[in-house]
Amino acid sequence: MSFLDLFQGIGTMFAQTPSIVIARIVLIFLGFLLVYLGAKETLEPLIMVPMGLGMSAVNAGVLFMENNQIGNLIINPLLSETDELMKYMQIDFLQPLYNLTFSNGLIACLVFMGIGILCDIGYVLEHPFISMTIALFAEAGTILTYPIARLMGLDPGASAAVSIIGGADGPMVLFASLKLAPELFVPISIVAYLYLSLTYGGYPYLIKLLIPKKLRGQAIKVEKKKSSISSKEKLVFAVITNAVLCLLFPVAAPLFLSFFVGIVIRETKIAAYVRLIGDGFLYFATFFLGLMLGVLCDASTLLDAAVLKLLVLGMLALLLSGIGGIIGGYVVYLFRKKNFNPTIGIAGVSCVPSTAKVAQKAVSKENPAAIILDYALGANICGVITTAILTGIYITLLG
Amino acid sequence: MICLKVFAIGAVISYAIALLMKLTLVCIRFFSKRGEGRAQ
Repeated sequence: MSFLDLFQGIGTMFAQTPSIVIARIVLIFLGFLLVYLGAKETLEPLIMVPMGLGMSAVNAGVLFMENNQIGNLIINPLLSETDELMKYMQIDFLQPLYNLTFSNGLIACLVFMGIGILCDIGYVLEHPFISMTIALFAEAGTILTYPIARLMGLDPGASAAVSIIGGADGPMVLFASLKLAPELFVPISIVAYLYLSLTYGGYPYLIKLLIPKKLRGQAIKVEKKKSSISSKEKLVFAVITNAVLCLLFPVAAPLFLSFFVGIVIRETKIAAYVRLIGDGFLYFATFFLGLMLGVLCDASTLLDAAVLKLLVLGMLALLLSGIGGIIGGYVVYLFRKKNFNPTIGIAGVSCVPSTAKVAQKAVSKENPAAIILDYALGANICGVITTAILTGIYITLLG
Repeated sequence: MICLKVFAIGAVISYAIALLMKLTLVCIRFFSKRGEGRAQ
C-alpha cells in the first residue's frame, strides 16, 4: 500500500482538479480562521465555532469511495434518489440529521421557537407604529436586492431567496431558499450565516458613517410614563396575530407558528417548556445548524459560478437594509420633532438581539446615560415580524 | 415590479399588525376596567 493510499485525505488531492484542491486547502484554513474569530467573539461563536470545525473537517476528510469516486463519510447534500438516500443515511453520520431536520426546514423552525422565547413583545406593543416604521425601512435590502439579482441573471426564486438575506434572519433565509431555490439553498444559507455574523462587526462603522456624533448620543425624553404591558395583553396579541398571519400566508405558517409558539410559551410562563425551548431546542438547533453549515462547505459544492454572485448580493442586501434602517431612524427622528435617536434605526434589521445591542453600544459610547434599548428591541422584534411577512409574500408570489 | 408589490403588501400588513397591537391593548384594558367596575 502506497503512502497516498494510506493517507487518503492527501491522496485524493492528487486525483482532483487543481481548482478543487486549492479550494479545499483554502477552506481548511478558512475553517481555522472561523474557529479563531468565533472563539475570540469577533464573529458569533455559537455558529462560527462548530461551522469552522465542520468546514475544515469536510475538506480534509476526503477519501476514495466505491467505484473510485471521491467523497466523505460526513454528509452528501446532493442525493435525491430514495435508494441512495437510504444507503447514505447508514453511512454518513450527519446524513440523517441533514435530511430529517435541515432540508425540510425543521431546524430553522426550532431556532425560530428559540427566538420567540427570547423576544419580549412588550417592547413592540409599547411603540408599535414607530417600531414597525423602522422595521419596514430596514427591509430596504430585502426589496431592492431583488431587481439587482434579476439583472445579474438569477432566476426569480433565487433572487427572492438571496434578497431575504437583507432581513438578517438566518432561519428565514434557510426556509425561503428551501422553498424558492432548493438547488441554491446550501450556498445561500452559508452566505447568509457568514454575513449575519459580520453585522455585529460591520454595522457600528455604518452608524458612525451615517449618524453624527451629537445625534448618536441623544437621549430620548419620556413625556409620560406608559403603563407596562401585561403578560395577558402580550398573549392575546400573539395568539391573534399568529392566526391572522397563518390565514394570510399559509406557505409561511411553519415560521409564524414557531415564532409565536415561543412567545406564547414565554408569556404563559410554563417553566418546563421555557427551559425545553430556550435551553434545549435553541442550543441544539444552533449547534447542529453551525456544524451542518460547516460540513456543507465542501469545495466541490462551493465552486459554483453562482456563489460569487450570492456573495456580492448577500453583502449588498445587508448593507442596504442597514442604510434603510438608519433612514427609518431619521424619519422617526423628524416625525417626533427630534425627540428620538436615529441610531435605533439599525435595530430594525432583525438580527435579534445583536443589532439592538449594536445600537445601544453605539449610543452608550457617546452618552453612557442614554438608554435606547427598549425602542431598539421593539424595532428588532418588529424586524422579525416584517421579514416573516415579506418572506411569506415572496413565497406566495413566486413559490 | 414584484419587489414593489411585495413591499406594498408587506407595508399594509405590517401597519395592520401595528394597528392590531393597539386594538388588542385598548380592548383588553377596556374589558379589564369593566370587569373591575362590576366586581366593585
